Amino acid sequence: MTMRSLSRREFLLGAGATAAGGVLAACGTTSTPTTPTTPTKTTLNVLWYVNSDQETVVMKSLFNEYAKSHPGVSFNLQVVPYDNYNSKLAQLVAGGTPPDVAKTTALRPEIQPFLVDFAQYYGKDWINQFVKIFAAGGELANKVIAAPLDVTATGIFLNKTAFDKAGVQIPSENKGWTYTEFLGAIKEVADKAQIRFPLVWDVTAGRWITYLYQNGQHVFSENPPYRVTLNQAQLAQVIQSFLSMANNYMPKGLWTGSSSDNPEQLFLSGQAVAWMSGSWNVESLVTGANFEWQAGPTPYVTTRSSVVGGDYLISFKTAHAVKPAIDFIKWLTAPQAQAKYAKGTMYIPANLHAGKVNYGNAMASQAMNVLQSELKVSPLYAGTDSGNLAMQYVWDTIYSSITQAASGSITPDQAAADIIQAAQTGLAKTPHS
Amino acid sequence: MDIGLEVRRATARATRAWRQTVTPYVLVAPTLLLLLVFVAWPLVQGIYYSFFQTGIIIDRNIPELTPHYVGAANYLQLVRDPQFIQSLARTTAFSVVTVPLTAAFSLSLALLMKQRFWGVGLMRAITYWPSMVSLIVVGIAWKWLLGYNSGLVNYVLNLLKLPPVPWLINGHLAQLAVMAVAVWAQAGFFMVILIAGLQTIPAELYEVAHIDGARAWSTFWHVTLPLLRPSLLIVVVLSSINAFKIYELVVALTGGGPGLDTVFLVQNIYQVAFRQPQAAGYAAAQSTVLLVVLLLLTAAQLRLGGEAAE
Repeated sequence: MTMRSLSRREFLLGAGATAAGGVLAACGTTSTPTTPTTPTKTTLNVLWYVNSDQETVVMKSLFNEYAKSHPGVSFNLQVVPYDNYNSKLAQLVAGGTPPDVAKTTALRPEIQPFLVDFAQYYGKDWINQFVKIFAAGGELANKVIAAPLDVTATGIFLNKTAFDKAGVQIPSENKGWTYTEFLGAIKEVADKAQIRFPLVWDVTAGRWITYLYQNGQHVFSENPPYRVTLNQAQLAQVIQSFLSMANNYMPKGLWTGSSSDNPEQLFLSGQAVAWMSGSWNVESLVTGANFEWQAGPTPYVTTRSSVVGGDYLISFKTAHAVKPAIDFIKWLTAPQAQAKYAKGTMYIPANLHAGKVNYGNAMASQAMNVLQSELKVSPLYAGTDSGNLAMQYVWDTIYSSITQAASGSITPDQAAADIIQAAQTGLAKTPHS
Repeated sequence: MDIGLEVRRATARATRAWRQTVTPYVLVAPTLLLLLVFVAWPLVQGIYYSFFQTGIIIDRNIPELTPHYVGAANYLQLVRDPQFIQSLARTTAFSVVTVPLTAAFSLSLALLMKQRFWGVGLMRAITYWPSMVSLIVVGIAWKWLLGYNSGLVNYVLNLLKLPPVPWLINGHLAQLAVMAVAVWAQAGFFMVILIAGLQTIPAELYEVAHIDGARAWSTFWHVTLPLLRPSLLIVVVLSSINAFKIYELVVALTGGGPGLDTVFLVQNIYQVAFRQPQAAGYAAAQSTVLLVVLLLLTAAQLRLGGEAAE
């Protein structure tokens, strides 16, 4: 018999179709199974991101401790880079293979219907043992869909060695300093101590919003009925002021979103006087900085503010081992395990009964004390904004708007309009109790 | 006459013919099955869901995760979406610039590497090397080279007392950088295709051209280029497809920045599908447009260049 040969024309046309089809195929959606089972011998699949290698060590140690007291339970830890972590999590849920336990900062709308309601298992009062302002972010319409794991506070880290070398005084935490005073000081230190950059600032929406709060503005009202509180002209002014600071004190182009500069690496290598980041990086400072450093005081414009954030633990109704996962999450968020987790990872425990954590390092302890005290004096909206589920519609727009404004593609006014529009869309699409 | 023998022969012939008919289909079946399951079916699903408002997760038992039919609304939204239009325009411009550049650069390399000189094997391997490396790695490597404050290129410029260049943090320069790196990353692969094409051109033709007194340029124009057209067509079609699909290189090199200046179509589709809630249907509509664009582009290229190639 004769086989009809494929002409080059047909081959190339097919190649074109297959190439575009691959992209189209990725947009195909997936239905998910819904029936959980509870096997006696269970391996819990745990999806995690880490801020340091030490966190992996601590988690494995806690897994071992739990497995000893719960024979039959073992763990499969999958550590995923934080970039696109939430997309990966959503894809796993979409594929019908969610992890049994996952750490997350973002309760994206599309995964919310799949999340286990912990109040059903632990009772409605269980959530009251956690830092209230952060725990509220895991509550949705009388359900508790996320268990608080740790609390983070945004704040400034200073190269104390450089300040000492330059003979510039750092004010006390009680006195604090305005941005005008702070920027003048770090510029002087950079000049006198021969440091490349006065300031580096994590290029994320979460870090940028600190500056918004320090200007006395916020996205949503603190209490229901929720509304967008931003004013376009004032927001544009804040953006303009931030970009001016970025241009004059940070590495050129850092906030365009395409810079190769890494704020953490620049600060740890002694190339920056100050670093706007947060408590989750204390461990990397302890292990990575070969100079004396300290946290705070974080500067302010009109309002002293940190940003309340942190990590949650979640489980899915469609996971293969729901009950063992729920038992493990209860154990990990209880005071005893929280204290061990917080000490090992140098995080702030979310459980209020975990007690004072001894971090075993003077600089780390000073940093945690300062950052926690800054959390206490922060306005309410420094927690309620992040906790508002409508913020899931806003974070991406904040990032893209500020980076576009930094690169000159749009004006600060347009960036402000885009952020407000995203906030209004988010509010309209998010159910609130 | 042995009837039994004839019957056996006829049976053997029939069996052989049946085997020849069936065997190709059996051999093709696994690949076909994979294509059907992992390409064709999701592709049909993608087109189907482009007419719905839906997220990436569907559960018909949960109201907010149930797709809603919206007709052509997603397609109508495309023409009002500046981000989509800009990313499409950017991708088209990227394709218009990089495809001819890739073809020309690959052809130059092929003509050079076809020569016999000492070390040509090593030179070919070095030139081909970028094609073997993941585009993510290529992107990261060039990011380190082109960084404004800490990049190697600006460090060298500084040593030469020249001002640093904002390769990746200026919109226009970042677009040029992405184009240059994309051409560099692909040229080795296409060079190999073109070397293979060059080797099929009979040496006698060059001898005749030489005897007739044709100069090098004339020989290239009248002998090499026409006979190389089939290979060049493959290079143009495949590099066009690559240009419209470009994603991982850009994400690693610029992340789509500065701002959104290097966000191309596939990155835009990804961000819409996986970062915007309930927007997978809209992203599917964008992907369908990409499918149509690629089919039209490929068909047009085949029409323009294919006839001569046949």
